[in-house]
Amino acid sequence: MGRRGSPLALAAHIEEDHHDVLWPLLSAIGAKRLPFTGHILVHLDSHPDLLLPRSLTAEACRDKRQLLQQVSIENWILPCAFLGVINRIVWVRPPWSDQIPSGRYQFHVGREQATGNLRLTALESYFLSEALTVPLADLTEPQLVDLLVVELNGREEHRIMDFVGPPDEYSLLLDVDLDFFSTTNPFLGLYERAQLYPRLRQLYHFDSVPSLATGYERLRLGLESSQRRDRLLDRLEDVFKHLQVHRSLSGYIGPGEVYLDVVSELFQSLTDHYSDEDIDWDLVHCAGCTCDDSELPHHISTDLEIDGLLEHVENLLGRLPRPNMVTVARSSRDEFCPPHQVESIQSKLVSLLERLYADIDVRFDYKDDEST
Amino acid sequence: MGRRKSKRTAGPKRKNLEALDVLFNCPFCNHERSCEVKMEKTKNTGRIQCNICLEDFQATINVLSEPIDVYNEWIDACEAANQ
Repeated sequence: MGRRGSPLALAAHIEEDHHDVLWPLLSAIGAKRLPFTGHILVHLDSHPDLLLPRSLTAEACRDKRQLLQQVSIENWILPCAFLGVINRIVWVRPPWSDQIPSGRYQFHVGREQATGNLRLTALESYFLSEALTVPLADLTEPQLVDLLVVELNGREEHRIMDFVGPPDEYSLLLDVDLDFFSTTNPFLGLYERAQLYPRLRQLYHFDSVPSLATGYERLRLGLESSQRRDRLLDRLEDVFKHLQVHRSLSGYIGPGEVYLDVVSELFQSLTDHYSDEDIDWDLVHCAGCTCDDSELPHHISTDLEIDGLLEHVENLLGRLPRPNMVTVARSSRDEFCPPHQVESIQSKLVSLLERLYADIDVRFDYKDDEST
Repeated sequence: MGRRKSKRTAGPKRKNLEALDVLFNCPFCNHERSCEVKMEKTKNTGRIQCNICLEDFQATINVLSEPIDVYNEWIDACEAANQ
């Protein structure tokens, strides 16, 4: 076997945090063990992970090390679309995930002329609520993204076959987040005695674009909605940053002043129930940012449900061509996959992959990270 | 920090990236760290040369390639030539 690895063995990398799967994937492409373009990513996850890091510039995106430092679990896929590595994506979601409805979406990712940051043109609420949407005319170097969203339920899978087409025309990348099989919304229980999450839902309210709006009207409403959301999040971020540093709202002057009354109530409630050193105001803002017109999925599966999903996954993978790389994220450290279930799910998934792909070489990369 | 699906832990743990090495041992004269890689990403070319024996090698690269990839390709090419 050469130093660049045998072309025959199928590498499967298991990481803890999902964005870390980019390291083996991009390294394999840099070393020319995988082609640069022509990949289809089949991504099984309770979450789309299809955002963009807000401050990632096109230049930083082209520097692998900078890119790996800036991506996070919710935004690691689309920078690869800008690079031209992954432009066709299938998000296979479990029945309880609804952040993006089933369907086919085409949009562009490119460099925003005014800022140099990566932005996109999609008009679904998932993207608008992150204030990532800009008009196509504002983008340079636009790259087309072809996205298929499918629920894994034994009925919709034929749409994946139609989408991917003849197997000799692409390279398949299989990616599985173990929270696909069972997931929690870790923010639900955050500062529960102060009823934080219901309060945040009101404060971080998001007006989605009416589903009946189409064409230019949808674009106009979408861009307005995106801009309003951007202002809201920037203002609230400013207030909570102040709280994180100064531990009090007194003396706060800044763009978040318009929300001071509501944030004061929240502050009072949290400090009534928790001591100051137990409150992480950055985390409170992060929890608020998860609230828009849909919520993070929360579904702790029974063993029977997990086994049922594994059966659907095995049927699906049996119909797809052999992937050129498999990546797996455990997502248990941040509790998106219930920590008490992660080992069992991982063990069952690895057995499934070994049944399907006799030459698979499973690498438990997360164990190396734990020991450093 | 991401918005929708953020880390629950305040300080996200980052993978330790291996150091970006550009000096490697020469497969011809065996001197340690005598081979230097130069990456010309605009020309999609990586070039490695031994500063002692002047043996060299050139490989096509892409935006994701690193110096170690050029060195490894050189070693693979040497092994293939010796078979």
